[in-house]
Amino acid sequence: MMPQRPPMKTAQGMQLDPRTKVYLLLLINIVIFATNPSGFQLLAKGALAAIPFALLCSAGKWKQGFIYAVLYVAGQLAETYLTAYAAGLWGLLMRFTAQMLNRFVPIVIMAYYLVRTTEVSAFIAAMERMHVTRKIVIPLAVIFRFFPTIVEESRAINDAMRMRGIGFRGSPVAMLEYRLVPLMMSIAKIGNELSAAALTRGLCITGERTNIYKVGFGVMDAMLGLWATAAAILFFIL
Amino acid sequence: MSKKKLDVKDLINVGIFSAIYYILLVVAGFLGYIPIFSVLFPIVVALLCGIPFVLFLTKTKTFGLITIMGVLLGILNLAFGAGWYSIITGLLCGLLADLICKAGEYKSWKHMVACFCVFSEWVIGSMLPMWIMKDSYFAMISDMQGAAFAESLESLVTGWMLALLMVLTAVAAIIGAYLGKAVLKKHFVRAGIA
Repeated sequence: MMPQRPPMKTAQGMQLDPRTKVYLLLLINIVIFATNPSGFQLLAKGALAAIPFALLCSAGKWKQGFIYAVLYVAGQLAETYLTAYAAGLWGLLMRFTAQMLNRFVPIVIMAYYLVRTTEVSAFIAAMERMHVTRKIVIPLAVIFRFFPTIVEESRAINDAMRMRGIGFRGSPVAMLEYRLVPLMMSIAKIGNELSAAALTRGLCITGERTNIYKVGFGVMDAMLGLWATAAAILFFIL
Repeated sequence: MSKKKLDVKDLINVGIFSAIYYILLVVAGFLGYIPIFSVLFPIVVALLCGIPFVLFLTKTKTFGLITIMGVLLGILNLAFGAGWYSIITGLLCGLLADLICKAGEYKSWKHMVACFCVFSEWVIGSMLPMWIMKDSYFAMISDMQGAAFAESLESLVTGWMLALLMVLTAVAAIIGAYLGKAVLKKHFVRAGIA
């Protein structure tokens, strides 16, 4: 079985409740995709986009944090000032890129932070606290656990296939077959092992389970939650 | 042989295949850079995702799993910014697809193909705002992407285009399902996975 990468270390006292992280992700999502912001709305949107930056920095990922900040600001500036002048195919490409930078990047970073800093057990515990049905919680936890694994596996398969000279230049069907089939083979195998492990840990027991992770809201949860809620409300009022 | 109760192993399987499905969907999403492809997106997804979905169906013997998969994909779509419409379409298409498969007792190939056809339609949910809130949506697109792009997209968004898109998606799903079956036969059955 692929060893699970150790979760990202967060600073002491910065341990957020999984529910807070999900809430932040949702709010960022709603605001960023709501409309085309202008004026003060940009500030509110920026205040939300600053959350993933702060979280990355608090986890000691200074470099990634700053790269994200630069990308976001560049995308926002490009969208506000440059796209009005751009026309034709280049304008289109530029708009798309600016869009990607200031819309998808904050969400992707937030989702990345959520996945990388949340233990699967902690996630399950938090969701059970919210009385979400286990039929949704368990598959969702598996998806969480699997996104990094799939990316890692496909990277390894990619390397192997490149070594064999099977690239984009061959037929697309062959490419699909040579990438997808080994990927699904290994994923199916990892999945079987994962379910064996889950059964050993008693995931199939019905009734209340105890959990080693204490989930609960702390000061940081309250601060970030209030900050994000305020920014979202301002965004829609302004 | 259809089992009655969902167990944890089933739920884990749903998670795994939803993850693979979603990653392929994201790959297909990058095609959205080309204007025409952002409309053809469900078709590409149906073609690509036949392989994991057919493998998923061979492991599915219980009612409810396909529905859960639809809802999960909808939730993922919401989390990654494609709107909440796809949760509803995911639930509806998943449930319908589940009922079709149940009618075939989860082993009839014809029912499986029909099931994938119906299931694939859920992706259109992420595009429904184009039709439902046409005016405001295109005002936004025009702001975001420029008038030229909005016009080239708007000329494509008509009622019959939606119907055509659904039909084409279904056709692509049939091709995808047969592609999946061929791959399954060639690789997975031999390896003892399916």
